[in-house]
Formats: sequence, C-alpha cells, structure tokens
Amino acid sequence: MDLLEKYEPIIGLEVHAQLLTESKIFCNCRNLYGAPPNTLTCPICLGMPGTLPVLNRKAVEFALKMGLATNCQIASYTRFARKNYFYPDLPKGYQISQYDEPLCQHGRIKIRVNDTEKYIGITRIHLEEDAGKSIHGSEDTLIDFNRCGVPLIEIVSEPDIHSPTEAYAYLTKLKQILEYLEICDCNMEEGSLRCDANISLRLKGQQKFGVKTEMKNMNSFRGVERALYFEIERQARLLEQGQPILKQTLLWDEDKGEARPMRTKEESDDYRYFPEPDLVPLVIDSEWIDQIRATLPELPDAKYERFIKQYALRAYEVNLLTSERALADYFEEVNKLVSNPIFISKWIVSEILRVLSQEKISISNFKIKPAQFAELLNLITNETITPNVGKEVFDKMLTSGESATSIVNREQLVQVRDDAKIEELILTILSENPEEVNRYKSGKKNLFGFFMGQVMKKTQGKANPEATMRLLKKHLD
Amino acid sequence: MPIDVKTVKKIADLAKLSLTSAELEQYSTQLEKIVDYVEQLQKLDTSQVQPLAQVHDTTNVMRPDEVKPSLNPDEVFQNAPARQANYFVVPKVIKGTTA
Ligand SMILES: [Zn+2]
Repeated sequence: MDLLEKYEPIIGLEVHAQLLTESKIFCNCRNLYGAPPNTLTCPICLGMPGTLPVLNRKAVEFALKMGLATNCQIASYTRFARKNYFYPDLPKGYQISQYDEPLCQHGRIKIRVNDTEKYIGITRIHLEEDAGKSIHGSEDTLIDFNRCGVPLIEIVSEPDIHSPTEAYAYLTKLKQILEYLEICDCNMEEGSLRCDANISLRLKGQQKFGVKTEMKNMNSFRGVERALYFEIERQARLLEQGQPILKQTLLWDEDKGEARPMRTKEESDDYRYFPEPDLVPLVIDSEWIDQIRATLPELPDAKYERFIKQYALRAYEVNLLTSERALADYFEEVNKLVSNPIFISKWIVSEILRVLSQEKISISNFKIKPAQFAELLNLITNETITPNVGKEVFDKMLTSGESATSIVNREQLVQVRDDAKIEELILTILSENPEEVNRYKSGKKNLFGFFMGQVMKKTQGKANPEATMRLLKKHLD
Repeated sequence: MPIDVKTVKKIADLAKLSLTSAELEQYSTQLEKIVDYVEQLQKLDTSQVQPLAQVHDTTNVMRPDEVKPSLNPDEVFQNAPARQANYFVVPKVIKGTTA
C-alpha cells in the first residue's frame, strides 16, 4: 500500500476487560458467563427503584493491579460517575462509570514490533459496570441481564499506535498482562475482552490530526488488524479524491471483510455525566497501593529479561515461553528436574506448542505434566533412548497417558549403544547395498544419509546416532 | 437565561420524549423561568468553596467479593410487561438508530 508512505495512521484503542471476580461489581449476583438468561439478577442489577449499589472491593483491587502493571499513576482520590443514556440493556438509564476522576492515569506499556521496542501510552484505566445483552429478533428484542453489573475496566490508549501491526502487538501485550495478573480470561469470542478503535490519517510530517472514525464490533485481534487496514485504506482513498472524512462509527463485518457506517455523529454524544450520588468516593492511600503491589506476579517484561539472562535462550524462544505465565511456569518446573534449558526449550517449542495449537488448548489443559515431561527428557539426555524414539514416546504418552519409562520398557525402546552390535548391523547393510556403497565411494557423499536411515530402520530408530555415524564413517571412508 | 425551542427539543430527545410544537413553546417559557430562578445562586461568591458532590464525608465503603443467591425467575419477571421464556421482551431496537 503506497498510500501508507504518504499518510500516517493515528490509532487509539479502547479495551474493555471483564474482571474475574466471583460476584458483580455492585451486587452479590454471581459473575459468570453462559448461565441461563436472567438467572444471575437481583433488584440492584435489574435497576429497581430504591436499590443502592455497594462496591466490590476485589474489583477495585483488580483494577489497581492493572494500573500498577501498566505503570499508571494511581489516583489518591477517585469517584464514580453516571453516564446517562437510554438503551434497554441498561435498566437504570445510566451506567455507573468514571469520568473526570478515574482510578489510574498516565501509564505505558512496551511493545515489540519487528525487533524494535516501543512504548504505547495508557491514557487512563477506569472501573465501570457492564450492560446486559440484547438479542435482536425480527419482531422484538430479548434482553438478558446476567451480564449487567459485571465489573469492567476500560483501558484507553494514547493515540500512539501508527499501524495495524502495532495495534495487534499492543493488544497482545495487554492480554498477556491481564492473563499474568489473572484478572481477566481475555476471551474475545465470549466478550470478556472487547476492543474499539479510533482511526485518523494525516499527511506524514503534519502536526494536525485528521477527522477520526470509530470502529467497533471486531471479535479477534486479527479482526482488529484487518479492520484497521480496511479503514486506513478507505480514508486514504477518500483523502486522495479530495473528499471529506465523516466523523462516524463503523461496524466491522468479519465475514465480508468490510465495515459499514453505524451512524453519523452530527453532534457528539451527550452523556450528561455527573458524580454518582449513591457511591462514596474512594481514597487510595500508599499503604493500600503497597499491599496491591506486593501481590503482583513477575510481569511479562521482567520474566522475559530474566529468561534471557538466566537461561541463555534466544529472544524468539523466550518470547514464546513467556507468552503465557503458565507456559513459563511449565518450562521452569521441567528445568528443575532436567536442568538443560536449551534442550527443554527446543522440545517445548517444537513439540508441546505444536500439540497445543493443533488441539487448540492451553498449557494448563495439557495432558503431560511437567514431571512426566521431565522424565521423558531425562531418558533422552541420559541416552536411554534416542531423540527420535523420544518423539515417538512423546506421541504415545499423549494418547495413552502412560509414563515415558513404562512405554520405553514395554516396547523395548532402549537405545542400542553397543558398538559391536551396531557395527555388525552396518556390515550387513553395506553388503546388502553394494551399488550404493560404490556410488558413495565414487563421490556421492550425500548417500551417507541413506546408510544412516538404513541403520535406524533396522533398529526402529534405537541406534545411538553418534555411534552409528562414527562407525559408518569408519567403514565407508 | 433564555431557553429556546431548540434547547427544549434537545432535552426532550435525550429523554426520549416526543413533544408537539405547542408543548415545545410552552416548556421553553416554563423552563426559562425555572432556570432563571435557580440562577439566583450564581450571585453567590463560591470562589472559596470546594465543589461538593456528597453531603457526608465517608469514603471507601466496600463489600467483600461474595456471591449471594440471585432472584428466582418468577421474582425477576414480576414487574416485566412482557416475557418470553426467561428473557425480557422489549420493542425492536437497533443500536444507534434511536438517538
Ligand atoms: Zn444483582
């Protein structure tokens, strides 16, 4: 896209993350996805007159964790506000949110794009309640209020993002932090993580921002990336034709790969925010902040740096290993028992990650636990079995759930390390393949692999590779 | 402060009220009187007064994160004008076209 040479995209993202509390933010109803409709409701979250909200302490603490993890300044005094609008999934006629006194402000997170590091500013993180869910039928609309009152944090980025790739990296990083903190399960399909984008273009080198549009309804990170590409191109084409960009909200259609306007904003939304009189302000002292800070786990950036230093692994592998806290923990558990980081990392990246992506599961649901995996790796490092047999045993462990040792014993997979035995085998193979031997001796050196293969075939992969190579060379060269 | 018909129309739209032109005229006169009355407060010097959103000075009222039983469906729908299975039924709405 050569238009991208000419125009600079300015992108800001608004992310809503549902917090993994047990109960809702202002009432004691259970906070749970997928329950039968309206079974998790009470007079408070149904917006009955005369009810009063009471703030869930855990929700505040989760929001504080995210604020600290994204290097935000935590407000010493913060308040809730009413955002007024009428929509049937919002029974009170207003959403309890935060306005001019948010919980966290002025943070930043580090992203990596093409080996370059960059900081994206966090404007603010505030607490609010989710609305219910509407199901639009042809005749009427059905409402389920189970989601109404589920605690959300809204994370607003600075307009520091200049490409769809950076947007993708930013979202991935936010998700990683939320998951490390265990405060959100980040399931975009279930809506526990949602993202809206603001996009405008300006000529490169220009200071003034262009007119921005808002993009909604993306339900995956790749969807966000695609929607941004679409919108950047659309705006660039309009600008090239000298046409104005309308200030409007667009809905992304993932199947069609296009966005259509939802509404044109003639005037900006008028939510008539005012301080929520039903909730008292929050005062957050340094003692409380210190308490929360003490509960923070090692965060992704710190873990990444430590893995590089402590285990001497490459950036590529560390990136994968630390992408999820549970995966990093898995690696470290195995390393306690095998203590060969490079070897373990190679196996996790090539074997375990392959299985996880094939079966679309996370490491916490992976059948082979660290101790069992370590047992397998130890059988390879102490040369009981060859690496090739190791891969076979790994596959068998996946299907049968048996331990590596019992599979090796039952199927007699212990590797052949006896030089005399291997040598005997090699002599047989050489006498069975005189043609290949001649060709090899006349210079066809790549036939070496053929002879290796023959030995492995005859031993079902059990011949010690180093010994086989050494003895083959002895007889061929 | 003059409250013109346009302002009344905007307030009515935000409140999802549809008013006749006669009502718009009538309410603009009435609202103007009300606003003028309240505007007497502007004469007070509040430069030394902190804005007040709450009359009591308590802070940090919170509850532990505990689940308590929700309502049973019959209670939930007791006041509902329309119910279908366990859903509330409302007239068809398409987000964004209402405002
Ligand atoms: Zn409730």
